[in-house]
Amino acid sequence: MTPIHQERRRRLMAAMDEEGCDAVLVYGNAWQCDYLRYVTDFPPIEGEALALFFSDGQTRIFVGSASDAARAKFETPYAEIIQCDDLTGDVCDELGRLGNRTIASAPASLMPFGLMSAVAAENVEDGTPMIDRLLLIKSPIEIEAVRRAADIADRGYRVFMEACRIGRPEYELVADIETFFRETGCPENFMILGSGGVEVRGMHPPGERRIQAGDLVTTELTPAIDGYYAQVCRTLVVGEPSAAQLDAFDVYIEAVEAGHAVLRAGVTAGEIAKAENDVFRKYDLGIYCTSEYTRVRGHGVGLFVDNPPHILEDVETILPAGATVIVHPNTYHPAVGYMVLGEVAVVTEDGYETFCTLPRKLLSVAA
Amino acid sequence: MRRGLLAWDQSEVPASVLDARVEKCRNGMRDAGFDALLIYNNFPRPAAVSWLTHFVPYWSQGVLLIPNAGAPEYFVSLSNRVAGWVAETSHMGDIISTPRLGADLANRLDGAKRIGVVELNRLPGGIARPLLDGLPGIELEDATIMFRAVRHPADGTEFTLTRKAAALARTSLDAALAAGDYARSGALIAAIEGPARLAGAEEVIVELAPDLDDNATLRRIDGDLILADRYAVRLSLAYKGHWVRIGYTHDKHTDGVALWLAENPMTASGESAVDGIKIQHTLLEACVGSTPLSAVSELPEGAVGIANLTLVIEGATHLVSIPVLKDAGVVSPLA
Repeated sequence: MTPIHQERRRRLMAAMDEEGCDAVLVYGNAWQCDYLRYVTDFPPIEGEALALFFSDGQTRIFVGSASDAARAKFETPYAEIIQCDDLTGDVCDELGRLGNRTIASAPASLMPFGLMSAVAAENVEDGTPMIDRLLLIKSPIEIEAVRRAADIADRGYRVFMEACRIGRPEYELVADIETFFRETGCPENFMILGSGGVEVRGMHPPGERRIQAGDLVTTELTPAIDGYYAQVCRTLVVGEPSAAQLDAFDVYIEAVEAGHAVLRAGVTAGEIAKAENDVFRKYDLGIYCTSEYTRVRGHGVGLFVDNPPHILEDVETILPAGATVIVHPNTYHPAVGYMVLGEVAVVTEDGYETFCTLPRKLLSVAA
Repeated sequence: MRRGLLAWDQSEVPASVLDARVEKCRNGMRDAGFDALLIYNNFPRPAAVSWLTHFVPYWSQGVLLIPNAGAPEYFVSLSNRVAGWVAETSHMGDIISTPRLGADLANRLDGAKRIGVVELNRLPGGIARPLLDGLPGIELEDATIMFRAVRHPADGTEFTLTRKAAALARTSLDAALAAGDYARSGALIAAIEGPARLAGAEEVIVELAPDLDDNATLRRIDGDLILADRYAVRLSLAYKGHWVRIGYTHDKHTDGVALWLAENPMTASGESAVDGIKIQHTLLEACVGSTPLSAVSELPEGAVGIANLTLVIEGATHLVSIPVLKDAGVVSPLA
């Protein structure tokens, strides 16, 4: 068992003791496995899994995919692995055998219908808030994993800049980044991008569009190390940035700095979003802070790319020291197109610490 | 997360092929008496929706609604700004961008009497609960078996694109292994994955058993490990929604054995076709629902799938994965 997982288990068992919880039941799949990974250290690559973790540390992982099950047996020797043809049915049977114990499950939004509708799960309580608290506050060893992921993200962005050459299709840029990440031993990355001009309203998976002179090229790179993601968002211009592009990007620089200026333990997610959005409103660009143009003004990162809290003005979650978040005022600008800027930061008592070495400016590569 | 090429080329997958699949599905719905069919997708479970619409999500989740008349409608948690990209890469009717999938589906289905859900038990609670709350008196019915019945045999487009995925995987793997010896896992994985993505792969997963004599478990490597003299490598690759796996054992002392085995893995009965080779374990996989490759006890007739074989040759373990098809009851390598 890795030291990072030993620490998670220690914190989980303390939280369960505090809540009077005999066991937790968690779900995860290859898209979102943060709850499952926190509790078991097992990430499904292709399928989905459920796990029961007991207050004495005993762990049972129910795995749907045969490939994942074989891997789970190797990677989590401290857990009992059960490969299931009927994942929810087998877990329901197990819950039935457990009888009258206090069990909390998470996350409620992803828990399969077959479980939530089963008689055996009638008394299972929602444990999502308990594990959300654990996911939010990172221990020093978790922060170190985020720091290493942030370092890989920075280096990956430099590879991205080299890859960004006129005539190359978007998917070739991603191929170069992924090659670099695999060479460094980084197995996982979330990445979307955008290329073009004023017609570009967001980012998406790579397509066949070829890079052209004058393009704004946006990306968010999000590699993971030991399961912990770190994200960097930057915008570059192919060729010399125009005055309009530079002027527009000044708003994003001001907004990201305004967001970071209020970032410290005790601030709410809403206060950070307001600080960012006030900058846009100051330049009569407030409409571009609405859901028509942007999803969030930042978010948590950790064992998932997009953890709570979402940085939005109506979110009242208080950020504690040890939370890892990205503040990014990514949105559309009517003069030049979609622009992004931000990087992961660790919240501290009196501010924040960022691991990013990339400059907060509109970058450029030779045309 | 999915971050390879996601694009719809109608010369590869004509709209008429997708329309025919939807119609096939609708025939199954009629036979089952469903007014509407719901199919969940996220990126680990894209296959049922991509078979019908070509759409593969890179992120988030959605539900495809097939009404008993009219084009399929897609309810998706991605923001409205992404709806244009969804439309560009797929063939479907309305795209409804909403954070309230269950509630909005319930509103849309008002008046429906019998609603089938493919893989009902796996539908996430965050969708199922508001869907049920919004449809009082309606019981959702499991349509998994109905969908499996219409999913096969594969059509010509599926065969063509699966062969293309297999060729892409084979080329990437062979070129990397031919390029030289690898001391560490990172260099090998990069040498396989980079060219595969440059060639347009939608997804690439490279798994290794880095020291086959010590342990024969294939796994995704987190870090950079030393490769032993004998290691196994398996490339799982998707091209335009079509998944294959190609796996070899790399043995510095028996060059060519694994490649030869990949061409001659088994007889129709599943026994080894070659004296001295024992098939210790066989895992067959096929696409029968929302997951691209699931373990199956036998391939459906007319299906393409994967045979994952654990072979023992002169006491040494070899891992081989190859695409196969089942035709007239016989499983054979996909040529």
